[in-house]
Amino acid sequence: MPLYREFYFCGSDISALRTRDIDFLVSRNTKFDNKVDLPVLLEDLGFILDHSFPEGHVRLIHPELIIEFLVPEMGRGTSKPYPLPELGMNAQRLRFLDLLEGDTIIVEVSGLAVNLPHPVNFGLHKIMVSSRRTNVDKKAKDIQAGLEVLRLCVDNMDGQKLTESFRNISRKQRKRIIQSFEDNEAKDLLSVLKL
Amino acid sequence: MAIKGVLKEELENSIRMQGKYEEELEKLPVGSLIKKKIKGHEYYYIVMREKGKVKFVYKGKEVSDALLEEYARAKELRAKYRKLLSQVKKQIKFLKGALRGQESI
Repeated sequence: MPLYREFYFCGSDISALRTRDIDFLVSRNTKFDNKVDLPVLLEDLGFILDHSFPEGHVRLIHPELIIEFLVPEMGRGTSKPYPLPELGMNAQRLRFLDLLEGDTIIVEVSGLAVNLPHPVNFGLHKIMVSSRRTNVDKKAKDIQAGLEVLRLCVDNMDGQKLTESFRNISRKQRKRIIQSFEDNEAKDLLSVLKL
Repeated sequence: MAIKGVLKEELENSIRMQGKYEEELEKLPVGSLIKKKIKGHEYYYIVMREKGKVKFVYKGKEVSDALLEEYARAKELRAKYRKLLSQVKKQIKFLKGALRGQESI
């Protein structure tokens, strides 16, 4: 989220609390030019492989960073990891990620060009996944993050973009988002959607 | 509430990380490979601690490059993992304290 603050060139009061997770979204049709053994490459920095049980998702862990890969889940879904042999890793399949991969922005951080989902889509995605969460804390965290980013977008003249993105998602998801806005008394965001 | 949730999750991550680093340290070959010069001749030994005593295990006058490399790598990783493990333990202490309300968050 601090990267979205960079994107809008503002010092908006977005939560300074950061977790160590960094998730890389990989499109299903990604073609890799080179094969890299990421766990071996990052071993020198002290990263180690962590396998989840029983699903078998892998992530690279370090006291300062936890790296994970995600792919959009399609169809009926499965808990099996999506293999990424070109990286020596696998990815976790998650719902609604297609919303994030279609429309991206580039933010430069410390000389690195970081490709990120458009903040409007990121915020909507957080709200959408929150409705599927069973863990109360994670649900609250997703809603808080989603609302904060969406408010940042609206404050920075991206209200129209919010309305457009909202119109492009399924009716079922739109209902979920409205419900979530209502439950969290986000009248300001409801008014942007003209609801 | 969201803050506590995040801290709990981070604590779980750190505890898991501690276990993983300890596992990785156990996987590394025990001891260090050293070269001793005895009466003008060089001999290789693995030096390790066993029940509080230093033990030398004779490996021969010559050892393979692979073994030399294995122990050099193990030495490097052991130092790295121990440092990171100590960092993780500090994180766990901090997070536990914060969740008990003993640290300002």
